[in-house]
Amino acid sequence: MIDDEARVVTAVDDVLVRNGEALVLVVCEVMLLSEIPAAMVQLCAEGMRVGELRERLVAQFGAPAHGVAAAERVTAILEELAKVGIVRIDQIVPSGA
Amino acid sequence: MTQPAGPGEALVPLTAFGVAVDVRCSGSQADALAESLRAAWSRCARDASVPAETTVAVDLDSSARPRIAGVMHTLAGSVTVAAISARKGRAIMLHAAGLALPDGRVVAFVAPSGTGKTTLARTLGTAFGYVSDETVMVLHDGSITAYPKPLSILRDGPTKVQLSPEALGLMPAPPALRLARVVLLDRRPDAAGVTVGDVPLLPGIAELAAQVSYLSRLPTPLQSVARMLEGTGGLARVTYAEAELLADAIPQLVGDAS
Repeated sequence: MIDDEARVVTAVDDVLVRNGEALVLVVCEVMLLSEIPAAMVQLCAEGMRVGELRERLVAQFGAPAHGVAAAERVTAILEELAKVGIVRIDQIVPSGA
Repeated sequence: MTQPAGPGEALVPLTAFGVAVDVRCSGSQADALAESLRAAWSRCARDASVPAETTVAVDLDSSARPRIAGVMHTLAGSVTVAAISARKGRAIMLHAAGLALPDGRVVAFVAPSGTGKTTLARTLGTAFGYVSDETVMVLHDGSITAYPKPLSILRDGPTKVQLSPEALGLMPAPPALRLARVVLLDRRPDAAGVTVGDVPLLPGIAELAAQVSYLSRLPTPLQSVARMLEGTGGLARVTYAEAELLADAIPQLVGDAS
């Protein structure tokens, strides 16, 4: 699970949004995002804490279905987006660590 | 002024969608190669007083005895690559065949290499102005400069030859060209007739992106491509078996169908 205090920053070179979906360009690759990842990319354009991002997504789209915890779902999507370079996740390093 | 040909060198000044390209031929077969180039690239000839932006050099060593036809084929790619590189970040360069209506409106038929662009240009270029069989360069205002390069055609043997548009009877494009529609080519030997359909913008750009040269070098690349498509009726796809059948689809693609 990604810490709520971790900061997510969108790392795309360009983004095009239509009807809630988004097309992003990362280096030379173009990827199509459905509504929730598209919203994440837009919300995190200037950087946002994971906890706040989750609250905003739940407010916009509602809680995930089938008993999946929102934190679990947001973490899974963020990890996918980070893996392909769409977002950067800056974990908080505890002081004195 | 472009650099004059040196001793033993033959110069062929060309223009590729407005990019001044010099081909410098050297070696014992330089003159023969230059003569073949001038014939095949006749519609891309440039006044040598216009300075070259980029140069392609080729040396034909007589000991290697390379076939001029093979070198011509390689050179066509080199000229295109040099011109594309010279315009990167300044225009949307589609990997496409372009055909023009008499009023200058151009339909760009986008497809990967080896999937029907040259056949399309050769077949329909006798009825529509031949803009290019390989690259259509669109400036930000929608204007296009033709690139009527030679076409690479199989003739009397297994190897391709470079033939000029004149040799194939292709019509010249009008002088003032403007993009009217971008179309994804989908050639299927088993297709019945021609099917024309609209492609939604975002998945369309995702598919088109691989056929845009130096996309990431454009300012706001996705926005630029979206503006181009939205300003020309959106991206379309044509599914077809034989290129000659596409002639009847062109009025529909540019909104002229009744």
